[in-house]
Amino acid sequence: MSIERRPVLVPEGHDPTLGDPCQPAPGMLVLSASRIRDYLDCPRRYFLRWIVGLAGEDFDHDGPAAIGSQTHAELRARHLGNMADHDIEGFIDEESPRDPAITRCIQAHAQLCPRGTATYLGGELDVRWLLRSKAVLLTGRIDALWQFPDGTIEVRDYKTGNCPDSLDDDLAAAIYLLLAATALPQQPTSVRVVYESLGGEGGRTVTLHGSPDRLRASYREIVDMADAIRKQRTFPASPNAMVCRSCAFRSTCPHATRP
Amino acid sequence: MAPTLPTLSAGQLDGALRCPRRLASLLGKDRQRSGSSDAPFRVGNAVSDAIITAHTILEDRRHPQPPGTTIDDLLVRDAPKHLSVEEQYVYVQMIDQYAEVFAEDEATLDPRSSTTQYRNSAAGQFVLSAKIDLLFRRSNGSLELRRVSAKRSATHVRGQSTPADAHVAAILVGRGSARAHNDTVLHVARLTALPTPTVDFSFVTLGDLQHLRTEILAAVLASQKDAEQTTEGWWCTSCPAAIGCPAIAQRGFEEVIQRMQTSPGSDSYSDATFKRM
Repeated sequence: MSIERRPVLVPEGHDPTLGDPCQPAPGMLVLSASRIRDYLDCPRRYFLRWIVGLAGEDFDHDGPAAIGSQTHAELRARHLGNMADHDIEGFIDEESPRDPAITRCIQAHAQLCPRGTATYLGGELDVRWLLRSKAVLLTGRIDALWQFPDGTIEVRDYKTGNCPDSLDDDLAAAIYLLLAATALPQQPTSVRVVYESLGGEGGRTVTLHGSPDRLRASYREIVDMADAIRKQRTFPASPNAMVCRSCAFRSTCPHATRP
Repeated sequence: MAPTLPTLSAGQLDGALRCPRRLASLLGKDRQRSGSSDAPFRVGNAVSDAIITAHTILEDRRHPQPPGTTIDDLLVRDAPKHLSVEEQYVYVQMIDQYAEVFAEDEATLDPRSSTTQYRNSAAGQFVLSAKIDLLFRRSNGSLELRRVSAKRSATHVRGQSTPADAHVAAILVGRGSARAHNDTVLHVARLTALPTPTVDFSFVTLGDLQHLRTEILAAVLASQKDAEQTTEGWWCTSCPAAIGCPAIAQRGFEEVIQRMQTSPGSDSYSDATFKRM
């Protein structure tokens, strides 16, 4: 049995350590906060993770990410099950989570939760918006969605680790803003994104308001990003100590910055 | 010339069975095709190629290998140069894992390995297809399918056969030859790199085949009854029929901006709410 490999035309400028040149599949391009973050941090990581589909090293089983996901699930369950009859702090006393870090996050959330003034529409929600003219599918998972009496839709993102001081340049917040404005059946008249900082120094919020200008700027960012990814041929690495330190491909990448 | 029948492949099955609209678009006259990239299959294909080559050499009667030679001795450890460094690393790990698990195995390579097999659906409406990575005949006469993948998997549960496994079995076993060895139709071994190379085993049984047949028939009927019925989920991100799908919001951006601009109080909507925080 003979195995034949098709010849591959390599465009000029292609990074030879990436093997055959590869592009995102023709057709719909899927973008999310994590995909865009990967691309901006390091195009090579984006290529390996989202085009080749490699998992890389799995090194965060019990770390901060696990605490974050457990906190998210816990808050969703509490909001769905007990908003009518119990306040969040009361519920903590009845059924305290095992990890003290999660308890602290939930207690911090209790001080920031908009319950009472807004309606909880759900948590851990996957939302999608298809930019038909660009064949881009924008996706995101919303930690908590609230609707206020004036029709405003608020996206809440729980931060159990680092939380920025401003969302003006935060791409993930821009994506949530766009998704809240375009993807929800409620068709809100106004939207905003609120990051809840639940870890470390205690609870605080950071807000991004979805003015039309802000939405237009976010839309332009996403479209430009989609165009850039579609044109990409080489997916070069962007060695950077901060990025490489937590990269799932750090031990095999020939360009990784190592301590 | 007879029109080509639509094809439903093993890779399309999972998403197609979850959403009637997607299945209808795959099997319909104006069937959609999602764009595909070879990249996700490069490592898996390279591993399969190496395994097939090693088994072919080992089983070559005209050029017998020295006594005691095992598959472990014949597997090429040097990864193909067309793979990136990271992919080469995964390749080497997967080959090592394969050698460790299958070095002493007595199964022989079936010539259908590395081919695509087809079978007409019962009603002749479409064709089922499946790429066979590796197929082996074991000493007891049963077939063993070995599937190879370096990709992350959203749905695979260890030890459980998937609809795609049953799909491949249905195509391989064929009509009238569903001979069961202790109710086992196909032994499936999966070699994956998730997150470290792992070999997983499961069985596709006659029950799985019957269940799949029922499931496909029900899905086809549902899609014929209402081709616009949708089921939303993670599979939407790979759907060839996403454009125009009512489950995915696709309103125009300017329409959204217009709504925001014309709504009363859109400049001061949040102040009152936020002062309390």
